Amino acid sequence: MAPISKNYCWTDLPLDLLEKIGSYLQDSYVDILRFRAVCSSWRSSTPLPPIVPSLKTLPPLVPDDNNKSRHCLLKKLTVFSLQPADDLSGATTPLLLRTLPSKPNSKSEQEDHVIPLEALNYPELGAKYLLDTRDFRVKEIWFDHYLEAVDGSSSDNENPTRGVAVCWGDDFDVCMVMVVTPSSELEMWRTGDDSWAFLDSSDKFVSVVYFNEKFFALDQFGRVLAIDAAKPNSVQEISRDPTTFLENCYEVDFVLVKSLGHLFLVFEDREWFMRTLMLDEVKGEWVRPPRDDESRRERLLFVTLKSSFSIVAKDFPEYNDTWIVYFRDHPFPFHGCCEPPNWVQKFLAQEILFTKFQSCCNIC
Amino acid sequence: MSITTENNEKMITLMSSDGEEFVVEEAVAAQSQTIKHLIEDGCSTEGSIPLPNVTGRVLSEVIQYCKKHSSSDDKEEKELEAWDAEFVKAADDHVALTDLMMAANFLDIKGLLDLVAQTLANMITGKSPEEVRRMWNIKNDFTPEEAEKVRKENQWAFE
Repeated sequence: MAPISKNYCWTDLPLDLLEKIGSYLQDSYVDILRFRAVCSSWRSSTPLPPIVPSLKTLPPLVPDDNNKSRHCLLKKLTVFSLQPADDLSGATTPLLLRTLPSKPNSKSEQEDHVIPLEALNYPELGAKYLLDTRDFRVKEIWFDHYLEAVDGSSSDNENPTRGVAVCWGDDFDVCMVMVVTPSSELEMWRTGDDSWAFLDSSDKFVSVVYFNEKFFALDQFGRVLAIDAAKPNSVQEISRDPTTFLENCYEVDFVLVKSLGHLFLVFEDREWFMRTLMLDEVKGEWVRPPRDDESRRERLLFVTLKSSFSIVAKDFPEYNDTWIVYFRDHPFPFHGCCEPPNWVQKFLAQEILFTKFQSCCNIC
Repeated sequence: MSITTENNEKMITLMSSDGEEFVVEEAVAAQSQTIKHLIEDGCSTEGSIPLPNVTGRVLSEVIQYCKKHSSSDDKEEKELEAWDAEFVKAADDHVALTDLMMAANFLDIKGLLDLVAQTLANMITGKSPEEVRRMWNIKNDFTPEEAEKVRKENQWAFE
């Protein structure tokens, strides 16, 4: 059989078919951005979505009868990983970038299409540094939700919440949102509700995450409540395997991190040791991470005030173990326990904190 | 059961733009809404249905898809999904997926159109514009004004 010459006739493809291809990229801002940068017909087939999209309009957290136009916007922040396009071997440690919440005066920025971001690693890339995304392979590796308060006339940039967790319905039309308010209370809203519902508890909460059909709300003492998204009245406390408590060891700061199909409770004790417990969903209990392959898969946990996230460690070529990296905006005091790889040392130069994960979960 | 169906099934002849004839069961051909309407309008009674926009090579792929989808029911959704993935991978070796997409569009076969669009989108995902252009030999045809807009759009800044 004669060799078949495959000739993709893109010029023959009508706009509505290009638009259809574009519609399959809609979950990814970067892919749409690139799709539009290929040629003029691709560009005209699909509009560019905002980089910090507003996903839902919700009632204000604090009702105000005098100002009916007040509301909240549920928005999405994305963490991108960028690798130089000419580095085909993938040997360069990627640049991690996070989009910043939009500002009231960001309209002009949007028109110029200059997207404000913070560089999570390589902090030496300072203000006003511009990069052209076309020089990189860009992946969206994580996203988080936040609430923006809008008071009718102007948009208030102040983040009104300490934590936002969202459970989406199958078609993204409906959702359930749980937030920790600035006064450390837990409130809940579901599509169709006129206002937020207060979850009755004397606890002071610090954060909330959504994981495997449940919301997990963390209080200031490290107590975690699991709230079933389907039955919000069913609240269960996640107990701790008693062997994970240490004598003469008080725990001070806690954070919940989702990572590769597991939920972790990361905390620091008074002696500045990092401890990590993993949720055993069957027992409904925090346990030490078992030593099977799945849970020990190498991962990087990034713990920050705005949001915590996790990435697969093998995407970081300089890296060969499991680490927790946390940032100077987090209240944990400084602590380091072993020699970090080069890229972590870059954080250290910026007083960004680190600790080693596997040695820390070996609580004995 | 299936034998009786085959025996009772009316056969339809489809003719590609390059004159190749394909004889298929009516149920297979009717996966295409366009052909279904032609049959309903009585256009198939005199010999074959001409498809002036589809080459024989592409039509043979389309027929493979329609045969599979007319003989499977909804219960086999998982298996069908796996078959679709294999099918489109193989089709990519034989024909340009853009041609297959245009054929699916012309013949109005929604499942095939979605499948090919999704596959093309997956091929674009994660690639730089230059890589995409090289992969499919696409000309960078931006005017200087457009090129400047593209450059600005792709510019990111740090706080």
